Amino acid sequence: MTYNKIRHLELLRRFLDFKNQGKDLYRENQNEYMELLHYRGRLEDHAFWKNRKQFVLLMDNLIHGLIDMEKFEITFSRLWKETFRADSAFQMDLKRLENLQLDPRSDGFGTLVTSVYRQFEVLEDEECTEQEVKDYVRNTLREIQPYL
Amino acid sequence: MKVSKSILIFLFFSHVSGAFFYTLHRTNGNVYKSVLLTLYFLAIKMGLIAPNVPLKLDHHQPTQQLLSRVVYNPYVSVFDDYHTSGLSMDNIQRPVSQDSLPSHSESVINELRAGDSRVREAAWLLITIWMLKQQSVGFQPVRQAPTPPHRQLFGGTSSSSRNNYFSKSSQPGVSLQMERPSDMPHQDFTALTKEQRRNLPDARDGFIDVEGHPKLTARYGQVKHKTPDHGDIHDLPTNEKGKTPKTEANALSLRDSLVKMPEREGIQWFDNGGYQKGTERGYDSVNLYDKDKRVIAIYKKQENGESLFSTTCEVTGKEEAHLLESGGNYLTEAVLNNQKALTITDTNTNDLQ
Repeated sequence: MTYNKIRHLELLRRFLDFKNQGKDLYRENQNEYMELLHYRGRLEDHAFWKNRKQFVLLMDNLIHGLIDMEKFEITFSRLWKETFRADSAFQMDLKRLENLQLDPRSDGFGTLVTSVYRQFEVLEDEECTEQEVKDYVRNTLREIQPYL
Repeated sequence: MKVSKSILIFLFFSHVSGAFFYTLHRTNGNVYKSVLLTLYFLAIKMGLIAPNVPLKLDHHQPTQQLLSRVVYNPYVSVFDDYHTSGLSMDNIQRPVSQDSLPSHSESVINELRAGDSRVREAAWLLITIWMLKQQSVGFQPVRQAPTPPHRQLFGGTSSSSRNNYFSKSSQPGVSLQMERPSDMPHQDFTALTKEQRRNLPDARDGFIDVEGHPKLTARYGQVKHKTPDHGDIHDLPTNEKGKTPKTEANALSLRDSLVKMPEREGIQWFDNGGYQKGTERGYDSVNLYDKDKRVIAIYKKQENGESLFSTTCEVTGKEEAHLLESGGNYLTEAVLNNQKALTITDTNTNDLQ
């Protein structure tokens, strides 16, 4: 999906207007809300991509045994949460969005690091092993190479 | 009188045997030393020797130290009262000579020999035996019971019961909540998975009962399990590692936040939702989604009709889009990414055909 900033801003304005009226864009117009969600996802890609060096460094350190799984999980989760929450606030700020220059290279990057982040819960529930997470990170790191 | 004499003799031998078993314990099962000490005890009782004769139990230890071990028995605090018994260790402890102050036991034996005060002596012996039975714990060390499995599961890594969230000291009245249910055979309990044990009923469980929707249950054990990594999205505090401390208070706060989720403005119910459906981890669930906070709570549907809290997490834009489009099946981006890969493969296959 091609990013259209004008359309994105338009949808966000409608979303905020409804919110100020105590209404919900999703209930008022589901199609517009879903369209807004796709833009939201695209911006998340961009937000995670901006921190790509830190994500990749952590993953690389895990693969090469410089940090253990616990340290990796703690630091990676913290970085993911900070990025995600900062972006969530950013996406509600019309003025800052107007100045955003979305890098097309970031498309899909957020999915890759979020996929790694989601493995921690699988590990938490003991439905996979640390080695499996490590292998997952190794494979993801390969997929990330084109983004670097 | 014959009968009463027989009783007295019987009681006396019971008394002596009690002394034997006690010394057997104190000497770590050394029968020889136990017999020896009992003979000394008997001799004292019969007045053959004075009670302050050095004991041979521990040659290298002064008598005072040996007796201190008895009086300050590490196994029983109630042992302080033991001086009233026939063993009368405190008498031996006294640094006074036997000549100046005969032991209580000796005087009793002497009285028995003289045939005086038999009724009083019988009463004394009965009291002695009664006390021996009451304080029988003193003959064996009080061992701390091994930590039950459920405590290990929910109480962190500390072996100290005081640091355990289920300890009696911190939670009177609710410490047995995660015990094996009385109607559940032990084998069935031990066969439960960790997830099943976390979902055993507990007095601290939370419930959601909203008209028109399935009833939901947030088992305390499962909520606590999710507290460290998911507490912050319900505004709970985090430590330097970014995790919410796995305390009972935090678990209860998370439970309360989950229970109050239906009251949030614009909350979305997915009564027939799912979690990762289409994957190995997938299952049917009731999902509550807070679009404003972008937080979802998953309640796994059980075969018995219950819906038990499974997890809660923040939802990304792509995950939310799929959640709404699919009518409530929550797929993480990890799964969405795999599906995308499969789609690409299919497309390529089609291109080749």
